[in-house]
Formats: sequence, C-alpha cells, structure tokens
Amino acid sequence: MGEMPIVPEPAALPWWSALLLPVLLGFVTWSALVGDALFSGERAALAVPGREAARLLVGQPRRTVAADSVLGRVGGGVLPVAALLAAAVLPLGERPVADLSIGVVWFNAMEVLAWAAVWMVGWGSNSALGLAGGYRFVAQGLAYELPHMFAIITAALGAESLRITTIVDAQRDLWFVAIMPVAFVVYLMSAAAMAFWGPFDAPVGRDLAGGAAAELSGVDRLILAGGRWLLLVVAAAMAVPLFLGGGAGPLLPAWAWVAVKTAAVLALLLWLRHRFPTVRMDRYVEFAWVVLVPLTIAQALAVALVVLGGA
Amino acid sequence: MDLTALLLRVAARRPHVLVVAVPGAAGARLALEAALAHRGWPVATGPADADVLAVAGAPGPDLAAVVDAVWGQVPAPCVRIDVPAPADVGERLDAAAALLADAEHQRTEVVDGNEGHGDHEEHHDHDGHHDHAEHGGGGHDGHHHGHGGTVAGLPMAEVGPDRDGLTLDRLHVPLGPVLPDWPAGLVVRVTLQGDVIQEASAEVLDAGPAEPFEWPSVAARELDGLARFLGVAGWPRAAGRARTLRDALLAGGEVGAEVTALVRRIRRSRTLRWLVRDISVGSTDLAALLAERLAAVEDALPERQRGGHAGVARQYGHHAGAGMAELLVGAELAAARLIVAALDRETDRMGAGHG
Repeated sequence: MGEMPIVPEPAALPWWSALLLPVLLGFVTWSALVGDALFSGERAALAVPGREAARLLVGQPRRTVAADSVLGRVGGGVLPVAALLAAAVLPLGERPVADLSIGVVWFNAMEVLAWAAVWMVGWGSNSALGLAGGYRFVAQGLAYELPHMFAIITAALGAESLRITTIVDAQRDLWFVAIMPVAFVVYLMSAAAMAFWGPFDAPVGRDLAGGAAAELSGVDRLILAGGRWLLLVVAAAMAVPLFLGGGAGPLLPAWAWVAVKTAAVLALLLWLRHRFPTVRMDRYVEFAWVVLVPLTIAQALAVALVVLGGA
Repeated sequence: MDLTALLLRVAARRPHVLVVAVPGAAGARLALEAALAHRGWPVATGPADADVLAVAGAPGPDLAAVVDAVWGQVPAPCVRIDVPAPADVGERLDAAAALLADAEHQRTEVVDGNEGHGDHEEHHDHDGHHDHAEHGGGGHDGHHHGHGGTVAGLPMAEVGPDRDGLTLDRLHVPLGPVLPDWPAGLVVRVTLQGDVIQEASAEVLDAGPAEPFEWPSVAARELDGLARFLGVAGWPRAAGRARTLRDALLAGGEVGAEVTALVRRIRRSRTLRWLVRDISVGSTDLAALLAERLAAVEDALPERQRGGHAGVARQYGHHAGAGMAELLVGAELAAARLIVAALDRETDRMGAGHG
C-alpha cells in the first residue's frame, strides 16, 4: 500500500499454488456442506459431510442395462475438473493461480462444460428418469446462460477488460455491485442454476427420483455431487472479484476479505434453497428471456454510458 | 487396519432409507417417517441412493414382486427391513444400522450373493416381469415393442407423431410404485414423448385385499398429503415442517397455530403460485386444487371442529370430472407429478379399478 510499485508485480501466484488450489477448494466445499447441514437443521451437522462421503466411498457402483457408462462417467468427471479449471482465474486474495487476459471468458467456458456434463450423466444411465433430468438441465442452460453472460460481460465492460485482476482494480473506488445491481442479482441466480442448486435443482429433482443422478451410486454419485458442490463454491467465489471488490476492505488482508465475502455469498445461496420451491424451466425460460435478458442488456447499456462518460 | 470396515461404521451412522409404502398400511409408514426424522436419517430418492430398503406394511403379491425387483437394484452395502406394524420401527432400524456397519455381514451375505445381491451389472429382470413397474423409469418398459428391435433385451423406443406433428421417439415408462412422495401402491403407466405424457393408465397394485387405513386425525391426514405435494414441488423446508406438524398432531400435540402459520406461508409464496398456475386438471386447475387442499388443512384442525361437524377425509378433484390417468394426458412429467400429488387419491380406498 502507499507508494506505487516501480517494477510491476507478478500478477499470478507461483506455480505450486496450482497444487494447493484443489485442497483449498475442497476445504471451502467441506465447510459449505457443513453450513448446508446447519441450514437444513441436521443434528451433528459437522459430521454430515464425512458420513455422506464415507457412505458413497464404500457404496457399490452400479450399472443399468445397456448403459453408456463411458459417456456417463466422463460426464461425471468433467464436472469437478471444470470447476477446478474455472477456479484457476479466481484471485485468492490479490492474485489468481493463472492471470489470464481473457479470465472472464475462461471462467464462462469452463462453467458451460457443466451443461454437457449433466446431460452426459443423464443420457449415459439409459434410464427414462435420468434422461428427463439430463434434458431438464439443457433447458435450464437455455434459460440462465444468456442473462448470465450479459451479467458477467457487464462487469468486464465496467473495467474495460476481460482480465479478472483488472476488474478487481477497477473497483478500488466503488464496488461494481453498486453501479450494476441487476447484473449482480442475475449472476447470483445463474450461479445457483449452473450448479443445479436449489431452487434450480429440477435436473436432479425428487419428482424424478434424483433425475440425472437417479441411477448413480457409490463413487459415481460422489464425483457428481462433489463436482456440483465445487461448481457452486467457485461460482459463488467468482461473484467477489466481479462485483464485490475482490480483496478490498479495511484492516484485514486481501485473502481474508475474499474468504469473508465468499462465505457471505455462499451463505446466501445456501439459504435460497430453503426459501423457494424448485423453479421449473417451463416457467423460468419465459421469465429469463422476457424479463432478465432485456434487464441485463439495459444494465450493460447503462454501464457502457457511465464508462464512456467517465473516459 | 480395515479401512472398509471403518468407512462402513461411519456411513452406518446416517444411512439413506428407501421407504416402500403399502396401500392400507399408512400407520407403518407414518411411524417409519417419524423415526427417520427423529434419527436424522435421510429418505432416499430411489434404489441407487438407498442403503436400507424399508417396506412399511405387508405387501400383496404384485407389490412384493416389485419390491424384490427394487431390492435387486439397491447397491451394497445394503439391508432390507420389513416393518409390518408401527411398534416394530425402532428395533428394525437399529438392527439395520448394525447390519450396515457389520463388514463381515456385508462381505459374505450381501456382496458374495447369498441374498441375491452379487450381480449388480444387470439388475433389471427380463424374466417376464415387464408388467411389474419398477422404481419409476429404470428401463424402457416393454408392452409395445418398437420398430427398432431390441438392445440388451430392451425394446428400442418407437416413434409416433407429437403434439406439433413431428415424428419423435416414444417411451413407455411406468411411474411408481416406488417413487418419492407418491401414493402407496399406485402405478401410472405413461407413454412419454420428450417429457410430455401422451397416454396414461393407472392402477393400484393389490388393491382388492387392502383394508383402508383409519386416520386418527383428519388434520394429520391432510398435512400428510400437503407434505407430499410440497416435496414434489421441491420445497423440502416446508414439506419437512408439514411432516413435523403431522407427527405432532398424531402424538396428540396442540399445533393449530403452527399449522395456520404454515398454511399462511404457503399461500403467500408468490413463487409457488407462479409455479402452479395455468396447469389444467380436467375442468379445474392445479392452483385451485392447491387452494382447496390448504383450506382443507385449516378446516380439519381440531380447533375448527367445535361446531360439531366431524372432519371427514375428502377426495380431491372429483369435480375435475375424469379418472386420474386421463387428467395426466398432455401434461409434462413435472406437472403430472404435481397433479398426482395435488389429487392425493387415497389408494387404499380406490378399489381394484382405475384411478
């Protein structure tokens, strides 16, 4: 702080941080699971993730008749890998593991993989309920993806850069949530939707006996559930550099502020699941295209005018 | 150190239980659900998610055959328990947890096949059981063999014109009887195109011999149906609350104010209203059915019964004017689930005929 650095600091964290990233994300995900158990009013909430993980680790994987197991397993595996890759551009404090010049696009590309992943899992199990669940997620993608892209591109527009660290720097005076509240709210909704998290959990809904995950057991189910949680955590964490000023804040170091803000966004998403019933896509598609798309475009236009006016 | 044994012990602290409801045996199901809620054990969504298969009541021959097929789909480690009477629940669940934690039992009895659980590669039976619905869509159930021949003994999807005149795949899928928040013993065989139901026929397995269950409290019966509707609507918090209040009522608690508060909260939910509107159910619609249900919950409260008219269990949607199966034709799968939950026919009173 204070004097301007003469030599530009390296923008990315050292290479070995890439090895720590999965550990860190795993820890945050574990905490989020405990938090969700608390929200659900479970007793022994601290033990719930451990018991569930143990249950799935010793569980026998099963196969349905004429299943496309390769497709299904690749789909399941894509989910956690995509979440980890998306997290690479996430500033953990001031710097990310990889400071890509197209960070926003990278994040979006990784998160879109979930679209294919859930469909592959649903199709792969050769079960009508799994198939219906997989296609529900495809429809869900049609609904949330377009408003979501307008929302994140508005943040990039505000900073005139696709680099996540530049977007954080641009919020030194004013967090983007203040000048683009619509984009922030839409982002939160799509963060829940991309992780098929409640109230957007129709693809794995109870009414379909688990939907895309209906036929999964053991490690297969663990990988899908874990990937889903990682995706939710990464999507929640990305709201911090895009809209909430990244590591900016008084007293505490940047990494602590990132942790606090991420926890707050995650808590909000966990709470949402209990607050609302599952939103079916036959309803949400209409809302997304008729209301959210025009709203996010208007938001982007307003931000563009502010940027032009300030230049 | 035996890592598997350790994991089994940890996992057995919180097993997922798949509850099979038997028509006429709501008492056993209620006791089972209350015991699961008390222990904090989740209710499984299907056989793949289950560790314990719990049959609440004594199933007739048709339902028993389905239960056997479903049991074959539950992955190890697993335990099957039968709960014929409400009083046995606690003991049976304790025994189930002990067997789940017992590595020796799981290795020798379950995985090595003494209980018919050795082969999980091919768990759908092809031995003429095709008219027994399984857990609601495990395979392409074959009454009508498609044009495309068979794959691994399963018929390929046939094709037919859809509502827009396009020629698309049709799947024959049985819904129930083992499906979350689904009426006991009900099977609805549907022909699906995409997720739109084109044909439907309903039956209740072993409907004849079942003795209808006498609910000690009409309000509890209404809350039970409401909890199922909320579960299907994907609102676990409210569904859990309805179940808690149901169990409190059955235990003789005074929860009138809490029930009224829950009903008010559901009525006020704009999201729920948005989700149930414009889904027609015969001559009425889903929103009207839900309103009727909520009113019935309030009317059935003991506090409202002082006027002397005893609460009588009602059948919903009679004015909808058709059998249940016909009401589902043209609906999407998600809407059909909501319609079945909102109608909430008491399958133990439906007789051997169709819904």
